[in-house]
Amino acid sequence: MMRKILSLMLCAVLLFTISSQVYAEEVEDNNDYMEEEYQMEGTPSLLRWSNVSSATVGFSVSGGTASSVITVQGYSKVTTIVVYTYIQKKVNGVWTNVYQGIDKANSNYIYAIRSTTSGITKGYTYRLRARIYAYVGDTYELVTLYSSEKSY
Amino acid sequence: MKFTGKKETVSSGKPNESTEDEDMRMSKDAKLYKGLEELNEEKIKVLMETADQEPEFSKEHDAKMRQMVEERFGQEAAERMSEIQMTRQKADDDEKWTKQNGKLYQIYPRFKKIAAAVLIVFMLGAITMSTEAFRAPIVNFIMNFQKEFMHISVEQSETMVDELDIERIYYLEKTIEGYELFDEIIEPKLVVRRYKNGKQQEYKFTQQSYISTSNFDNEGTGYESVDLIYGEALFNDNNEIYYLTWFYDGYAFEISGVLTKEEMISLAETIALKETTDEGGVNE
Repeated sequence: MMRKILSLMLCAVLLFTISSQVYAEEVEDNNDYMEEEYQMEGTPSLLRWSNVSSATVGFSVSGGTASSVITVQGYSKVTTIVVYTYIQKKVNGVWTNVYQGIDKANSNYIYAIRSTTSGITKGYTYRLRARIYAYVGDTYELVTLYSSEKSY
Repeated sequence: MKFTGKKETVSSGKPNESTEDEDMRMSKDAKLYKGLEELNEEKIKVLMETADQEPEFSKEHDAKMRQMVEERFGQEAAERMSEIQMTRQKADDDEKWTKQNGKLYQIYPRFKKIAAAVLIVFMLGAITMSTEAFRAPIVNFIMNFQKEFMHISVEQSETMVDELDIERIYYLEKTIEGYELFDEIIEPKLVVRRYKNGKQQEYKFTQQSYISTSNFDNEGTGYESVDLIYGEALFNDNNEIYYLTWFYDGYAFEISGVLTKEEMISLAETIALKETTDEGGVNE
């Protein structure tokens, strides 16, 4: 009897945790990223963290303004870094872009500071989505990062 | 029995009685015998049920018995008797409690098992919930080891940074020999100074007033806590580039580059405030 109870409870906990993780991943992102994909040139590298040494993201929402700072330090071999900044708002469980910006530096270091008031309203959750292209010649490494979610 | 008003007499056993009276008398006797048998059976049953039970004695009886034993066999024997009486009393009390709380007493061991099972399941749940990322707090930073993304992220403690525009700009009083300042970025919440030597090697000094999360490769990155004059700092080596991060005066500071740990510490301990002039300019 005890084994049955224990098994049932264990199953319930596992189901709960799995379902909660699934729920977390179910938040959709149906935005159109064709512009970014269209603009990027070169060959993607299959190696991860081979060009980028560190990438730092900061994101805040206050006073009706969403602000982001992205800094990327590439290794010395890196010639160009391109950063796409997307500020996203969760509407009915779907992440919707309310702002996007592009920054480029012919260097192994870049900082990208962006802010917007467009589409920033109270009662929603926001986050930063960063797409970082670090080039060595014509080959690039792509790193995608997200900030923690901010309720406003 | 139905009364008809006719006076009835108890049977005397006279031979000249009529057959009808005889039958009536026999019927009454049979009923009496049967009733008596039933009564006896009930009494016997009660006696049989209580035959195995321990007799209950009053406290006065116990005291009198103890006194008699003491007089006849001495104090030691009387004390021994008291122990036996107390043991018997405790057993009686336990039995009474069991009778009064019988169901609870039977279920209690099961309760313990259920509680243990719930605890185990809760702990398993807690462990499972925390497997999203292994988080380890180190010196005001929370490190997330995210295997699925092959990188480590380091979150800054929210209590350590003011998140206002930078009002007090710091700079490094010392410069590593052979290096020169070649780039300066001054933004409301970010100040960066970059230094370069003749071999095109670089290091930079960053002051920021926003909470950020730094991301590094999972492999080839080591972390270490370092003591600075401002408190603890986080040092990490990431292949060819090293990072030293700390908090001071409501800002987050970082020195990164190809410098050694000792060089970084010596630089970090030379930060000083820029003095703002009346005209809005700055004097270093």
